[in-house]
Amino acid sequence: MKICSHFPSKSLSPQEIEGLCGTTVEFQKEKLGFFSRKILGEGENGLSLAQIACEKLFKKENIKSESIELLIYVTQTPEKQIPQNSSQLQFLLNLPYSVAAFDVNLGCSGYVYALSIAKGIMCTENLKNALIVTCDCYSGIINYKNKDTASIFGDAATATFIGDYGAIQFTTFGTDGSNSNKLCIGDDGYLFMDGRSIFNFMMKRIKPSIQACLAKNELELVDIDYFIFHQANKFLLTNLVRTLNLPEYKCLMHMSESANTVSSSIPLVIEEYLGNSTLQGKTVLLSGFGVGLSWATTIIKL
Amino acid sequence: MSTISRLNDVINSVTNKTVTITAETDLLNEAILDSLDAMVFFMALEETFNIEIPEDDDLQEQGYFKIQVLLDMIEQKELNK
Repeated sequence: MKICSHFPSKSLSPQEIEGLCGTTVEFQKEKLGFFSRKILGEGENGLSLAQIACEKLFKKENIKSESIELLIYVTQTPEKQIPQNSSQLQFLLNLPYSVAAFDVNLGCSGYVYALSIAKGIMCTENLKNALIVTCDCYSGIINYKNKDTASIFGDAATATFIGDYGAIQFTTFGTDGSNSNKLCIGDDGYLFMDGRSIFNFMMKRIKPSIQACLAKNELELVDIDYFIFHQANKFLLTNLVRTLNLPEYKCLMHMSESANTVSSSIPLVIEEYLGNSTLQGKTVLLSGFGVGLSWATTIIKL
Repeated sequence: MSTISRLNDVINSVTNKTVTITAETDLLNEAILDSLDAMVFFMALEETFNIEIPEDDDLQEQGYFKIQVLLDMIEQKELNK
């Protein structure tokens, strides 16, 4: 598994956020764990971020674009409703016409879903090389005067090359549409989030999801070297780790400069800790949860 | 242990601070809880006292940050047992 990311050029500081919505700099840094976030600048969009992330990956890992057989593009903020971003990215990256390419409309659980989908298609169709792209640009749907959402999200894109689907173990999934209105686009066209409901959802659903995933893979908690959760914010993750009774050092975080990047948050952590060799040869549990409400947990062996 | 003492323990545990509450305390106006601590507080409150605070309720509007309101709610629950 090889990963590269790309961020937009514009930064939004905690001071600027405080000026916009009143959430203090101290609260953003101490409680949320966010010291900065990047948002789309002039001339940038999600597709351009995704293209650059892929080009960086191809160059760094010496991957030939013509070798890609499967492209999965995870986003809930596509450039257009029609056509899908994946077909535009196929053109921009000069991927072969034979590539299977489609979008996955999922948020924070999207990356874990995409790993499972990639494994499934690679296995059944005997494919060797897959590319998973994540890119959500929530800056376009956030009312920066809304305290509930203004300080939480940042924009980013990641590209993951899968050359050996055997690294991806069994996955468990979950969906609760009855609470879909707790995190959604409101009538005003902006993102709405009921923080308490999302917190309760996370505390209620993630532990059973992890337990089910471990059981499905015939593993115990102690067999997991590291845990990477969707990087919602520091406060939520700290409480989740406490509830799960996990050693803090096993729960990797990497969000201080990027904030919550939705579908990109998990691959960003993997990229960071693969880069410093922490994850080489390790068994890692990934769990994503959010919009839908949707959640998914899997295990990868790196 | 009195109900208010148990409530005080929950608040101290959630905030990791030592505060002393009275029936007149307003947890939000007196900056004892911020919006994030409030999520954990209400979850702990539900577990400790076996009460339910509906997610759709506006917590501030319903007065759930006022200790007297919480004491009344817990007392009512005890009476209904």
